[in-house]
Amino acid sequence: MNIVEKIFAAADRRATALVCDGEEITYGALIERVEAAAVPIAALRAARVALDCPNGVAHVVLALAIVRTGKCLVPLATELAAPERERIIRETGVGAILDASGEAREVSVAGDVGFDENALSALNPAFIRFSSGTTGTSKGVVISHESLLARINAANRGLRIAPADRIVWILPMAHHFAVSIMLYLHAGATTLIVNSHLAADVLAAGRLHGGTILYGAPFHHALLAAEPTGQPWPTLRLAVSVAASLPLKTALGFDERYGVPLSQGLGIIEVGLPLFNVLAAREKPGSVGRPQPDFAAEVRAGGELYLRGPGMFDAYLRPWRRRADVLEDGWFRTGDLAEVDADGDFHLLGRSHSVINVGGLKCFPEEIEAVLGEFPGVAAVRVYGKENARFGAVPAAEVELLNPAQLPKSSELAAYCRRRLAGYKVPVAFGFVERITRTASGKIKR
Amino acid sequence: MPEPSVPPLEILDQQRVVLLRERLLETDAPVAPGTDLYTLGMDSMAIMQLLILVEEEYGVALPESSLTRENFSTARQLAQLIRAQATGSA
Repeated sequence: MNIVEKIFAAADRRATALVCDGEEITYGALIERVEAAAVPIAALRAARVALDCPNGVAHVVLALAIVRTGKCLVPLATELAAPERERIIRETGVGAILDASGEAREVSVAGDVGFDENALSALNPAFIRFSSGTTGTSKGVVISHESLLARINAANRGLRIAPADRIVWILPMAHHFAVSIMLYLHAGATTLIVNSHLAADVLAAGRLHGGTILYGAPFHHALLAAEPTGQPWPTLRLAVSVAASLPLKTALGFDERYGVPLSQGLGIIEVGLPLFNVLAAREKPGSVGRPQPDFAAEVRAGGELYLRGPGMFDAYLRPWRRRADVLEDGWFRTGDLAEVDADGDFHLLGRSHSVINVGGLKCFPEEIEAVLGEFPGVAAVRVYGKENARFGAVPAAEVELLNPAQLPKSSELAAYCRRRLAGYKVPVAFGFVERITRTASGKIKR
Repeated sequence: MPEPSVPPLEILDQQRVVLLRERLLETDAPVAPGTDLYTLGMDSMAIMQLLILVEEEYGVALPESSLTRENFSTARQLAQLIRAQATGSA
């Protein structure tokens, strides 16, 4: 089964698939573009193809073309620094990189990629989303064509996206594609690609093209809530907030401004969209709602959220672990702390481990510590999430020096990080301490 | 509330230029206080970083309603916005 083939077979070719920068692309035209782009991709020897392309029509076309050929898509987020990209390419065994023009650059794959090629291809993988793990070791979440279809169908039982819907799209496609743009195409809806987060641009696109659904992170919604012209958005029927916890002020402001409450959802790459607040978005904007049809959620002892449902991920790439070996009796342990209220609505309380969520972009202190630890003269580093009213948290660092008399400048440390890490991972402040606080076992205290 | 430590406009202009060129846009292209930042790649990610850095360096949280295309178009516009916010004359 090929998910893109399935989407195309069901498509109404005259309907509009994408709108971007004034250009309208029908499903028929999209199919033609994808089929044309797929020809040279199919000829590549690579089993896995990275896509290095900003948001836009080209991203959608090339992503679909890669998946259409049966090769596995590995998105490269545009904000990543060169060493981060190289690591993803190396560790996922990518054999070619496509840029925004569709030009392919072939790269050599190591003889031993570190996972079982045959076991991977037996899964019929459609894409691999690479994320850094808690210990700085990589994971790489593998999702097959079959799982993708199952999770799209499951998610849309709650979202109910139909051909008449027009989704205003502002999130980075390299981070969000499967249970979003793939879903909209599968549903026959129109995706309105807006390449700006500024409220005036988002509202103008929504009004001009009759946007019915908005999918964004709390930061985008905060900007829209403060949009000063008072122009209404009468076609908006559903506004979804994902990626980070939604401040109450933003939720209330948005509802007051547009007359549509923000529905928080919990999207997890391993699971899909298991929780979504459709029933009580206005009454309880702080809740991520109840399990969607077909999903189950449980808060277990210790307060940790467990999930199960259709279309869960198929494997972790590195180290190689099949879904069945990762799940606990069929349940996925999320690492999120949650509670359930008397009505059965779920509320997220935070993470059980150290991830820092910068307005929806996640990073691990360990990966930043590893980079800073290489700076000459640095003995030890502790990175922590510093509270930030707008973005939830931003990374900050405590640095222990080998020789406290040789104090590096904060700007040097920041510049060093910037060359090696995506911008949002660069600590906003560096504090120099005599000794980093450690636990009894010598680990950095978090 | 303590007075935020915001330098005079001319210095702030230059500081914005350095911050924008080196820390946000990561470009070698020449940036002057009046250069159009959008042509140099001022994107959503850069705006987000900018808000964080302005908050950290000057203790000024730019309000959501000020985040307009015009205010992010040049380093000078930004400097004026930061000063206006810091001195409460916005």
